[in-house]
Amino acid sequence: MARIYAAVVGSFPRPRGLARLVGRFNSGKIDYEKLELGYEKYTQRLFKLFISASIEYFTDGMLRWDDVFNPLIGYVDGLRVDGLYRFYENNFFFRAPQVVGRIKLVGNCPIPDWYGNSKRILNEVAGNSKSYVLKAVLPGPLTFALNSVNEYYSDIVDLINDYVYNVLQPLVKELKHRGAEVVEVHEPELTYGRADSRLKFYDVELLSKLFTELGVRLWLQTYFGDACSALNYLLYLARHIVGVDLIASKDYSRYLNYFSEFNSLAIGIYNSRSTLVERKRSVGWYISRFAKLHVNEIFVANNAPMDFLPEIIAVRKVRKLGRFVKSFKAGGVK
Amino acid sequence: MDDAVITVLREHEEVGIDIPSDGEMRRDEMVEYFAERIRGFKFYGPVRVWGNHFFRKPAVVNKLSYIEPIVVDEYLFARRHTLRPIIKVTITGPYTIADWSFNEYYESKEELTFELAGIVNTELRKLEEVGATYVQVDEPALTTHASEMEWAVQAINKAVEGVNVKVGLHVCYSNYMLLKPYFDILNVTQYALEFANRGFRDLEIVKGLSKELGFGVIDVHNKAVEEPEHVAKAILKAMEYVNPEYLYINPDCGLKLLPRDIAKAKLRAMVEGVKIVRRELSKRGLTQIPLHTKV
Ligand SMILES: [Zn+2]
Repeated sequence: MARIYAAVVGSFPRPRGLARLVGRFNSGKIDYEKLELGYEKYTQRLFKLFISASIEYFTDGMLRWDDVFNPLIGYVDGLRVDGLYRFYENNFFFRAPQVVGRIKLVGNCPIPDWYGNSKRILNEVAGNSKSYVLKAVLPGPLTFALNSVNEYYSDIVDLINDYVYNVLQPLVKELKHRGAEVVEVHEPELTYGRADSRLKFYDVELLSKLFTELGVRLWLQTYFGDACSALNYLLYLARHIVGVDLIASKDYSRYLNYFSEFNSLAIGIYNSRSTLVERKRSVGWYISRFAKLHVNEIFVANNAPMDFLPEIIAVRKVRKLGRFVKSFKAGGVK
Repeated sequence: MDDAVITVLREHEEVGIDIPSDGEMRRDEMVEYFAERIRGFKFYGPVRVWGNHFFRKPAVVNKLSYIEPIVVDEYLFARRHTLRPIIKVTITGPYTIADWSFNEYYESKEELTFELAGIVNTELRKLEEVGATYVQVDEPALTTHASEMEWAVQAINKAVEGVNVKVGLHVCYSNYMLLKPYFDILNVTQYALEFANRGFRDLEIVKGLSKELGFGVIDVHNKAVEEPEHVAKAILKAMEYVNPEYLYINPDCGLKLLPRDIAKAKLRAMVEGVKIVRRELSKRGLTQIPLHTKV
């Protein structure tokens, strides 16, 4: 029987108070120190929520991020921050990376420090308990490449390569130094389906190799697309943690046996794009089926970043998720 | 609020805009405003749209129904306070309202959209009754889900059914390749599209367009004010595909995120750009065009 964990994937809605602070900072009304205090306070508040909800694997809510690419792309040479583009099928827009030269992470990228900071806050909130794992989050190579306005590389494979070795590699190394054991790499593009299979295989191959070499656990997170249609590629990452969006994978039960091949699966069953809070019965149905598979670890999670929800609903869902997994583990749900 | 509308109308006139609007001064947000005035919606709180920008995304928790006119008073007020004969009234389309809402009530998004189409249609008829001549249906979400476009387009047609005024359809930050196949099927007079933000890439999609183009020449997400010469150049480029009689010049999208002085400067630059082109056109004897209703 698989070990079951409660997990939160990706971003959490930026709280209103924090958004106000960011707005005030952007218009020059408060200084950086005040803003930092805000990040500190709201990160602390978020970790308290996760812990009280018995969530075991989580991110820092990506509270400093505007979208999955920003602010990272502002710290990469060869990139400019382009206009707004729609993020897949959502009423949510990101500033696209515009590739104008050979890409390479700049030396002073603060993302690893931000992670270190969040880790410190977590230790303070959790009293150095080892029960919680704080994941770092980074955009995946394929998702980065296909959402870029590429005006430099004539072959997209070169863009992917440079992103993996000149951006991801140094970042993951630094994150490891700051204590990151698991890095959540967002790769919706793998299941969304714009890339051809050659690129998808190339992508998973590179990622698997990179994270194995660096000795950091890869949590490859897909969303918005049918995981069953991408099993070929995802199974290549069977030794890592693979996150799938079961809301978007309607036929998953037909493919259930294939999911047995995975070592660690994150099943996204709490819908980040609906305000309806999941019923115990339907969630229980999912979990009991997956728990029977020969998978070592099952992470019960939200299906996609939670930026698409009002904060109040996200909080409700996180609480339900944690409570549900806890009672499932205690044998209270059949 | 009234003062704000009057100020906007004055500024539009001052910089030389031919067809002003009231700047949607009374509306916080394009879906919120309508959801607040249609029965059956509920608000849980703000949801991020991009960067640090949020909107109160509504949730449909009950059967929707029309309560009373939503933008009619807005139109009448603007008409009383502008010297320009034509005013553009904007109204959010049924598909976008549905797409930007959480659906907790209807069986399907399609059912929800058609319900909204009926409500929008009622509102458009009321606008026509009081003398509005030009409405713009805003559907920025239209191309978001390719698999839903077939019925989304029918819902828009239902929303404009029996309405005999000029109808522009505004679609922005979208994949226009998905819209193109429906250019002739949609029962509208004009397509108001965003082009400045995308650096005037994709212009070839309007090749062969048999309706008017509302050509977006002002990037509303960028504080740098455009040069009139650049605007003129863009217009000339668009005229390679669309006859000048079928060309309306507008900003990419709403200007509300810009500081007011910059928004005004941008509109001025747009008008100056248009003047450059007009001088060219008048040499060819083209000085005026009629206001088309349904093409
Ligand atoms: Zn727009």
